[in-house]
Amino acid sequence: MGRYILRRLLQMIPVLIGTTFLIYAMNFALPGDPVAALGGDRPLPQEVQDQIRERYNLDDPLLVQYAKYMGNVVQGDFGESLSVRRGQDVTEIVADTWPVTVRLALVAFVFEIVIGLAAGVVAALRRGSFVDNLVRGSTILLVSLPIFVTALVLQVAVGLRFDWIPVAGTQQGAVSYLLPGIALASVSLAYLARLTRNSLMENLRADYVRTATAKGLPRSRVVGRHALRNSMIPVVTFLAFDLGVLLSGTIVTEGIFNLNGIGGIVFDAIRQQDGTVVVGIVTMFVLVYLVANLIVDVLYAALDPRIRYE
Amino acid sequence: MNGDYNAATASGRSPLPPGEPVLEVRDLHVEFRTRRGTLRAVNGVSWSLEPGETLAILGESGSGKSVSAQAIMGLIDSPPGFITEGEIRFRGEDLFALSEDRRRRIRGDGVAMVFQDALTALNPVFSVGWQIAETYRVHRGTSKREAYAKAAELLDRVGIPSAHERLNSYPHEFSGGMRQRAMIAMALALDPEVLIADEPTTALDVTVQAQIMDLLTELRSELGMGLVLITHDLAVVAENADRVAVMYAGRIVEEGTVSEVFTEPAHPYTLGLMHSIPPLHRRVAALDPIPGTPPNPARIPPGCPFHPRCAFARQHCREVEPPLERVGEGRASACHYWEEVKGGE
Amino acid sequence: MSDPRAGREVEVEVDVDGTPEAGQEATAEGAGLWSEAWRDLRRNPLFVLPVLVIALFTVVAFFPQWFTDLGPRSCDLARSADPPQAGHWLGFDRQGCDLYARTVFSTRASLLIALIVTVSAFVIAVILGSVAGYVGRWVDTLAARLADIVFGIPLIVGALVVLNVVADRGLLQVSGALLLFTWPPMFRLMRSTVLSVRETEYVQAARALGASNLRIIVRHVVPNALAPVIAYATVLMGVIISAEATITFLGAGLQLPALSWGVLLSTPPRTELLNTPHLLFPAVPVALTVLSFVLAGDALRDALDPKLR
Repeated sequence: MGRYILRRLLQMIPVLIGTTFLIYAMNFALPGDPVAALGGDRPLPQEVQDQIRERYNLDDPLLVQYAKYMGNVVQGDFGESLSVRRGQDVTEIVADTWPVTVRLALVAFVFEIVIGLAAGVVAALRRGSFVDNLVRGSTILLVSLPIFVTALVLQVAVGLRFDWIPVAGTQQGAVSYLLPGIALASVSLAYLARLTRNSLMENLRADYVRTATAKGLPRSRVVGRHALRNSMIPVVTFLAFDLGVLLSGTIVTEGIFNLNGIGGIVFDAIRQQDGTVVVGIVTMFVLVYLVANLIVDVLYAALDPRIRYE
Repeated sequence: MNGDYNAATASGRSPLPPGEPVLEVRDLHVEFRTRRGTLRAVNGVSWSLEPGETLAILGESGSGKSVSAQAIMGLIDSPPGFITEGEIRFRGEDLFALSEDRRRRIRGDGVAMVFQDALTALNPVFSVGWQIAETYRVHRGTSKREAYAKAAELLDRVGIPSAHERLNSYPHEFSGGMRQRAMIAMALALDPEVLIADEPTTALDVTVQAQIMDLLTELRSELGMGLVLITHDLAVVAENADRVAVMYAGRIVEEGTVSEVFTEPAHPYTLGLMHSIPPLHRRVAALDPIPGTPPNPARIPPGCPFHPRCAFARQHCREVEPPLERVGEGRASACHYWEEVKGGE
Repeated sequence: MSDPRAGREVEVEVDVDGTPEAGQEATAEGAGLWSEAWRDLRRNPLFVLPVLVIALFTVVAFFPQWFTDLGPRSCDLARSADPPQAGHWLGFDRQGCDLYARTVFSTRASLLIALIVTVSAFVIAVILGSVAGYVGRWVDTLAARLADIVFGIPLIVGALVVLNVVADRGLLQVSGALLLFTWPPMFRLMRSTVLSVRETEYVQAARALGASNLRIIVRHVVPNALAPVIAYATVLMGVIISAEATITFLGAGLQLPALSWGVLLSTPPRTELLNTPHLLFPAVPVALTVLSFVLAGDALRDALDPKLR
C-alpha cells in the first residue's frame, strides 16, 4: 500500500509540472502582448507594464520564466494582484477568502452526495417505477442546465417569493449558502444520481449478486453489502473528478450570488483582466484537484482489492 | 464435518420417509416477456430427485436447463421472468406457497448452488474466507471467529492447501480450479440436502474439470446429499450421474438411467447427440451432427419442437406435440415414434 | 447513463441461458451493428424527438430570417429591458432590441462553436487515439501523458485562463480554447476501444494474413471502434453549448456585437434581474439543445453497444 501511494505520488509530479506549465504558458506566452492586454479597457501606464515584465521575467525565454515562477510558487509566492485588489499578494487574497469557498463547496458536496446517492440508489432498486422515471427525467434536465442558468433561475424564482432566503452575500450566515449550494451542486448531483443508478443496476445483474441470493442472504444484505459496495467504485472516482468541476463552479456561483470567496475573486479577476490572480488561483485549484485524485486512487485501492499492490 | 452434519440434522431436519423425493419439480412453466416477444424458456418440466442421487439435466444452451434451476433458487428476476405454472417441492413443501423469508432460509441451507464461472460468481471485493463465513453467520447467527473457523475447515475439506492462510485471499488471487473449489466450499457451508451444480466445470481446463467432478461426487456420497448436475457435456453425465433428463426447447424429451439412455436412446434428439460425439474405440470417417439449430425460444415450432431437425419426423409430428410418456421402467420419452428410434439403433 | 430498456434485454440473455449468444459477434461487421442500431433508434422516441429538436435548431441557425421579421439589430434604447408585450412577446433586452429576434439570430454562433469544437475534437481523438492505441509503445505513452496533463484542468477553468488574455474573442478563439480542453476524454475513449478491438480475433486474423498496419487501422480497427466515440461526440455537442454559454456569461467568451445565447445571458446585470426575469429567456434554447444532444447521445450509445443487444 505504501509503495502504491509513493508510486502514484511520483506519477503525479510530471502531470503537475505539465499542467502548471500549460496554465502558465497559456497566460503569459500567447501571441500578442499579454502585459498590454492586462489592463483591459484602461491600459496600464508604461512604468507599471515594465515593472510587471520585470517581476514576471517576461523578457526571459518561456521555460526560464516558468521555472522562476514555479520557484516562487514553491516558496508560496503566487505574485500579486494587478487590478482586483491591486498590490495585494494572491496568497493573501486566498487566505482572506477561502473560508467562504470551502463552506460553499462543502454545502454543495453534502447536497450532491446525500441527494445524488439516495436518488440513484432508489431509482436503481425500483427500476422502471414512477420514482425511477422521475429521477431520470429530473436529472437529465439538471444536466442540461448550465450552473449559471440554474443559479439565475433560483435567484429570480426564490428571490421573488421568499424573503427569508438570501439571494446575495453572506450576511445572513448559514442560510446564505442554501441557494448557492443547491445551484453549485445541481449538475454534479444529477450526474452522480445517474452514475449511481446505472452502476448499481449493473451490479444488481452481476453473477455474484445471484450467488449472494442463492446463499440465502436477505435482500437488504444482498443489495447493501454486495451490490452497493461494488457500485461505489466508479462513484468514488467520479467524486474526485467532480471536485475540480465544483471548484470551477464556485467561480460562477460566487459571482452570481455575490459571495466573497475565491471563486468570486476569480470571477472579478476575469472581468478585470487580472492575469496573476487568475493564473495563481487556477494553479491552486489544479493542485487541489490533483491531490483529490491521488486520495481517490488510494481509496480506490482500498475499495477494490483487484488493483491493490499492482 | 460429519459431526456437524449430524448436529444439523438433529437440529431441524427430520429424516425423509423412504421413497420420498427430496426435491420435486412439477409442470414448471417459465417465460420471459420482452419487447421482442415472449420467450418460453421452460414449458412444463417435471423431475424429481431422491436423497443422495445424482440427476443430470442435459441440454444445449437455450434449452432451458439452467432456468429451472434458477426457478428453484428464486433467481429469476421478475420482470421480465415469470413462473406461469407449476410447483417446486422441497421435502414436500411447495416453495411458491412459502413466505419470502421462509424461502430465503431454505436457499443455501436446504438447497445450495454452484455456478459456472466462479470468477464472476464470487464477489471480487470480499475475501474468499469472508464470503464463506458470511453464509454461516447469516444463517446460523454465529460469531465472526467461529464462522471463519468453519470457513477454514470447509476450504480444507474441498482440498485447498493451507486453507487457513488462504482465508484472506481474494477471488482473483485464486486459480480457476481453486476458485471453483472455494465456491463449492461456500455451497457446502450449511450441509445442504440438495446441491445444484450449473455447468460447474465448463469454465475450467480439462484436467481440472475431472478433479472438480471427482470432488463433487465424493462429497455427494460422503454427505448424502442429492446432486442436480446441469450440463451440456455428455461425458460428464456418463461418468457422474445416476439418472439423466434430456432437455430440448424448454421441455424434457427423454428421461431414464444414464446407462439405459446412453445405450438405447428413445428420442431422436438424444440419438443425435450420441452420434455427434466421436466414439472412443472405433474410427469413424465423419461425425454426424444434428442438422439445423435449436429453435428460438420466441418461435418454437408447432407440434413436436424437434421435428424440423428430425429424421423420423412425419406429418403427425408437425401437428401434435408428443407428451412425455413412460416407455419402460423409470424411463420416459416425448416422441410419437420412440419405438422406432429405440429399435433402429 | 443507459436506458432501462437496454438493461432488461441483458437479463434476458443471461437468464435464458448462462452463455452469451449471437450479440457478441456483432462487432465483427460494423455494418450489421449500425443497421441494427438504426432499427432500434428510429422507434425510440427518446432518440427521434431530440433529433427533431436538433434539426429544428439547425434550420434556425441557417435561416434565422425565416423565424422573425425583425433584424438582430432592430433596437431602440428607449425600450431597454421592457417586459414582453404585443408583437414582442419576449420583451426587449438591455440594448432595447427585440429579445426573440436576438435569440433567433444567436442560434448560429452557439451551434457553430459546438460543431467546430466537436468535429475537431473528434478528428484529433480518432487519429491520435487509433495511432496511440494501435501502435502502442512511446507514441502511446506520450499521447496518454499529454492527455493526463490537459485532463488535470477543468474545462471551464482552462478555457477561462486561455481566453482571459485574448483581446479579440471571436468564434475561432472561443472554439480553440474549448477544444484545448475537450479532446482528452474522447481520445482516451478512442484509445481504449482501439486497444480492445486490436485484440479481437478478426484483427489478429487480418494481421496474420499479412495486411499492413495502416490498412488494418483504416479498414478494421477504426470502423469498429468508432461507435462509442460517436455517441460521446453527440453528448459533447451539448456540453460545449453549455460551456460556451458559461464562459461567455463570465465575460471571457464572445463579445458584443457578436451574438450567442451566452452573450444574451451575460448582458443583464444580476442586480436588475429580479425586475426583468424575461431576460433569462435565452436559457431556454440552451437547455433545449443541450438536453436534446445528451438524450440523443445516450440513445446512440445504448443502441451501438453490442453488449446491450
